[in-house]
Amino acid sequence: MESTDIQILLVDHQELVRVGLQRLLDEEPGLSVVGEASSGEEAVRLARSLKPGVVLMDVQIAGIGGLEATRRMLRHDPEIRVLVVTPQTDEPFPARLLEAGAAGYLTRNCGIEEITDAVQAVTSGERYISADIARRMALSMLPGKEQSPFDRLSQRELQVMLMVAQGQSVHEISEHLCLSSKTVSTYRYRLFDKLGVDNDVELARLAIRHGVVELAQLA
Amino acid sequence: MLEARPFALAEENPVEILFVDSRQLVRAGIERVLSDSGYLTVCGEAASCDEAIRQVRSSRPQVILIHLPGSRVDVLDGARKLHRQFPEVRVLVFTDASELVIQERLLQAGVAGCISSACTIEELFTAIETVLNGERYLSDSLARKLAERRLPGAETSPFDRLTHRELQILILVAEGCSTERIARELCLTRKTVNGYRKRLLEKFQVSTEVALMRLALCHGLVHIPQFG
Repeated sequence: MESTDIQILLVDHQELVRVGLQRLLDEEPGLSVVGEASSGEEAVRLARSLKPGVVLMDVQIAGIGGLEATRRMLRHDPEIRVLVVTPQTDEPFPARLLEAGAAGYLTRNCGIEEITDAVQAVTSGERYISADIARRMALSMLPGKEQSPFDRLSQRELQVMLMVAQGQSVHEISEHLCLSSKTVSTYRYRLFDKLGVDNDVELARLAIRHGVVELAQLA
Repeated sequence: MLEARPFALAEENPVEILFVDSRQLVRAGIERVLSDSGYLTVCGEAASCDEAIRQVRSSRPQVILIHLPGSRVDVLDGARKLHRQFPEVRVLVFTDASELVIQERLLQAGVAGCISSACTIEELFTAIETVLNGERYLSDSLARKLAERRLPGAETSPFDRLTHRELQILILVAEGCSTERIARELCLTRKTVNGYRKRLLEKFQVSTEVALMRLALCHGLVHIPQFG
């Protein structure tokens, strides 16, 4: 390890993935992996003790998770560069991580060359967002689009959405809300339209992903 | 099968592995770790099981390692196809602890083992040795959960009663796929797919497909990433 190397902390819940990535990164000139963590808490602790230049962060990790770990690291050291490398390409993940101060966002489909480029870029103070994610974000942030697609639902629409996502039928929803089945269906199609989904299952999945419906409510 | 000596990994006789993973970076990293060990040679790599099937004849692996994220339908069908077409090759599949139903189905389909995706490299070596000795391999955490399901009085899974076709369609429905898409992927008519969809609601005694999806989610058949 050269003293001028960029020091990297590797965070991923899968040991095999971590070991593999470490092997590839260590072969790259100018980069050294100085530590690895499998949970959010461990990552925050190691970030404090090892003071790496760059943290390669997965989102779906144990404990406090990648988003909270990123927030805590940056609160403690605003200079630390968090580069998210994750299979999660769908919103809200990229937007929330970048808002939390992550310096970059890459998918797992990238090659080692792109990781190296991204590490160099964020170290020199730039942001690095892989092309496919940048494209999606650019489209979703056009004027008139809010942060969360759920923000622009009316109270009634939100109510219907939650009931659909809980697995209730149109008939059940219409009884609960004292509406006709036809009106409930009209709300459903308006929801599909506003949220950009094609059916009830997609609607429910979107609600779960955005944390609008808790997994705990599922069982 | 009689053997003079049980198989053990040795550097002078590295095991030929075909590694299946759709993510370039993960595949490159794990392949490097495997071949650096000296015990294994990566004789082929594939991004999907279909690609692996095309590769087996030319690369002649002893073990196929399937490490696929995404739809469990791809894993179930891919592992089944690989085992059927190449019964002499040992197939090891990476699964999560939550995926009990998938693991049972994989073992029933004849795969040589399921290994926890949280495993260490040493455990992977043990698994490879085990399956090359003609035995089945299951990670401890997975084995314990599967064993509990065998105990008297254990809850039976509502998924046990499903045929392979029903399970495929259930997973695709729970992933939010339309009838058209399911029909296309499984080479069925729309009418047949709609018949299955209706029957699944009846079998599970639920009134909506969202309720089906939630069941599938609780049983590890589909995954929805969520902030922890």
